[in-house]
Amino acid sequence: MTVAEKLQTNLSLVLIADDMTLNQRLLEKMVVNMGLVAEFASDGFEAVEKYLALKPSLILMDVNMPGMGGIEAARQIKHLAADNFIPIIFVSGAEGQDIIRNAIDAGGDDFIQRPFPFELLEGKIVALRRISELYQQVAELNQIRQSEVEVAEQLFSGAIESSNVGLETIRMHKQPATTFSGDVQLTAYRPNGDLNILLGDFTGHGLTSTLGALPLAETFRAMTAKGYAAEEVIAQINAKLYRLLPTGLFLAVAVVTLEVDGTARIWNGGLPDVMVFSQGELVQRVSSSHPPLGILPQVNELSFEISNIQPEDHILMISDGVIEAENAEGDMFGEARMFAAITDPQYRHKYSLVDSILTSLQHFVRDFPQRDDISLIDIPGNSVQSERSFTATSQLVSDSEDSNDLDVWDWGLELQGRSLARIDPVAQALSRLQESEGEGEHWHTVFSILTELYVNALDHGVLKLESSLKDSPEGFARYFSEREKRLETLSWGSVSVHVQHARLAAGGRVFIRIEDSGDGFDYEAWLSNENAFNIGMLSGRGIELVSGLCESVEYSNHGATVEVVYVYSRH
Amino acid sequence: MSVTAKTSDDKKTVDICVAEQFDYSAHQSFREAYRFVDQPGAMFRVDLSKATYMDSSALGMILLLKEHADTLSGKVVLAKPNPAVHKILSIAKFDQFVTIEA
Repeated sequence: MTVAEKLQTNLSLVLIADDMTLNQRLLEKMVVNMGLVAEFASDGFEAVEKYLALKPSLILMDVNMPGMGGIEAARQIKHLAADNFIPIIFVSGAEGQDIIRNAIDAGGDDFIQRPFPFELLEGKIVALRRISELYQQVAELNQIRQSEVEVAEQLFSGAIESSNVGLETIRMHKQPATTFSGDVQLTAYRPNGDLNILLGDFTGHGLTSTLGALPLAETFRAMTAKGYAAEEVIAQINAKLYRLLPTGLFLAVAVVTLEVDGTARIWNGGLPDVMVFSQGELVQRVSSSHPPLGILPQVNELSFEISNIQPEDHILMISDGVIEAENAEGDMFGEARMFAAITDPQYRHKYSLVDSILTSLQHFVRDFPQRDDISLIDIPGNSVQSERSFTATSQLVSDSEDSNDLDVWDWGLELQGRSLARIDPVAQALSRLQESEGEGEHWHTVFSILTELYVNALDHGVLKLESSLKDSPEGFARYFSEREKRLETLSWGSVSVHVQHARLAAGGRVFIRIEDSGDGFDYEAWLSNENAFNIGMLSGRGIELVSGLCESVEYSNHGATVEVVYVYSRH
Repeated sequence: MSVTAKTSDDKKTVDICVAEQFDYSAHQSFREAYRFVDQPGAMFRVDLSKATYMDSSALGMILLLKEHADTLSGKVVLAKPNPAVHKILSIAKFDQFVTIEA
């Protein structure tokens, strides 16, 4: 019932239910004396009918009436009124404690015994009408609050979770303990097609715990879209939450980056273990390695675990609401039950990972009320496809450069020594391009080109890592741990990145030159080996990708310098 | 009472003992246990031995206590957590900035 409907209550109308005409007249006189209007019913049935038809603001009810008595009528009216307050005063000549008790039990608000002085009834009516008014105010406030919560909820899920991507494969489940959930689930693509997935759990639940969700989502999306790596996104989220959230409010969070080549980088700060499943078996657990975000002014060193994910593998993220869900006996669902559900052959063939857990969880808690938010994210290994973002621009743009229309700018950055471990020139170059030339799909491609070339220059040129290491899955992991180790102690070497942009009639041309301080490589032999791409090698794919995307790729300086040209069209 | 507190005679050590369920319901009494202690260098010892369960708002309460202790250049020690509570503390990596005693 809306506020407007409530207001239809006829404020000056009092319904008098009594089978004796004399009593009706007597009460009418008193009511009219108070400036109110009276209506009449001669039995319980009529009282219910007139209540519905006339919406009086008060009922004076006789106990004994033919047909339906006052007590039954009161019970029905209170039931029909539901959340509306309709005060009922029983007026009776009958004596006895039982009658009073029954009348109040049936929903009566007061009882008055005949004979009585006018002042007594008047006092009771005034008092009850006052309560009625208060009741109405509370109901209205509650309604306003409810509609505000609903609007906020819509805004919240609209602003935060509706922009999630990759949901064709990724399965997300969220079961809030109240309307608002302290759990936040976010996904976004980096420009090169890598997928960042975040599961966050703010302290507590309800409205206050979601205060940080908007800045969290905004930071996560904006930085991921600009191509920043998860480390930088996490550090920035921490800085923001530390500044915004009061002490005692914080965010337990886990982040997974699923890279286009099948590498998963997993970090956990305060959530239950992130799990990797291969063919239904648990093969890796990533435990919390850092306090939740928003507690420390700066993040400590972030340790990511790296995993080589096959398309049929699954990564599972959960909030503690899953493990700590309680049943009526006070037992917790626990990890053991969760694993049992995942590996149960009965479930396994019937349900997905998330549904197996939910089915078992539902079975366990039954109807016991949920205390904490429950969140699950299942990320299948096939959630990123390298084709997604690599829509290589066709050569729509011919060499229609008009020298009268020169519009060119240059940007460059040289990193030396330790700054190589700290600064991400790719993200900087991208933001220059976006700031100067506007948004566009084509920057995804430029991001991929820059990333491949820069990583090659840094990994092979400066850090001197052998790409052949990546040929085996074990070597794959070793490659990354070795890379991290060398980066940490790096104090020599340099990489310079140079970007030139020229506006064309219907698009632009991006020239990129990357130079490293390394010895280069035998690129001529490498290029002549056309079959190198086809034998399934894990290395060399970067250059193949870049060649496919660019107009031209040229190596010089023994392979330590690479220059590429990329042309795009504006739609 | 979900939280009991005992302050030593020199007002330098406060022993705070929390009940079985250390969660939001203890918020008020937990805060009352330390908020009037303003002795520089005070030591706050939170006895967790009775707690069988602890939620994230309890972690938040400990952070508030730590903030209070820091303003006094004091110290917070979390004592005798049972394995379940210890697990919650270690998932949240509280050992990185609060002393935890077995």
